[in-house]
Amino acid sequence: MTTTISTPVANQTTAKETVPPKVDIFESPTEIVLYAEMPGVDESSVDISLEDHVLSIKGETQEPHYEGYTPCRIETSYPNYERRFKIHELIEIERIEASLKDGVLKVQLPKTKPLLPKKIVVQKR
Amino acid sequence: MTRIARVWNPWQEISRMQQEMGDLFGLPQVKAFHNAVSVPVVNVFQGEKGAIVSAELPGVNVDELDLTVLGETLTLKGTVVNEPTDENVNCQRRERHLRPFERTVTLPFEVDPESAGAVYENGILTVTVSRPVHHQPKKIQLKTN
Repeated sequence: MTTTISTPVANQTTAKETVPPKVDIFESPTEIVLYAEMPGVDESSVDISLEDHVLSIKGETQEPHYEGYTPCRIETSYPNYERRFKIHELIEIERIEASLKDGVLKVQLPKTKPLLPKKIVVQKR
Repeated sequence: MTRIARVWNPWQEISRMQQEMGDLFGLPQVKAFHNAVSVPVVNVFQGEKGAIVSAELPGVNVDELDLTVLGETLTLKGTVVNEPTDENVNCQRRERHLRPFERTVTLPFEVDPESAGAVYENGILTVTVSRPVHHQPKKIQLKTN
């Protein structure tokens, strides 16, 4: 089976832990839609790019600090998120849309319209 | 000195291993390892007046979020919003846990249920609870003759 989006590229190592977000990817005849879980990320900290058929999504988090409180159980360190995907379809870059709601990033990638065959009529002189 | 308990979550580790194996072999879709209720990760903080519990819950339907505080326990229950799909849509990859979640957290002390408050922002649920007034630390002034 050939997938439209294939194996992500390895993550870069930074001082703060960076993890690949969990994603759901749906494809219709007209577009590819990606949902990525990025809890703790707000709109201003998201970076999305599409270059050389590689879609890159990044999100940075700020670890909350509660004045007067000390941690007694820590299971998550509010990591940054980063993941890349190879896109095998041709995408209309100008029409890419992205939104972030409740820690879930949604990226809509419209496919370019396929070139339909056209009959050429030879005109008589 | 405060001791911090870093709790190992085996389900999270299994999910991560499964995801990495799927990525390694280029699997188009990673299916969930277990169909049980998912368990969100939490951080717990304590202070003189109360405690704060934060939980990573991206994409939660707030209307179906059920929070219960009783004695020294806080229970979080709910469901993750499932994006609508139609017949023309193919699923290429599904890694998110789109199923009900539940987590019972043991608080560091007994709390006043009436004091509980919660905020949901950017996929993080933050619950604040206070100690009962008679359990709060009280400074004692020394009287001198």
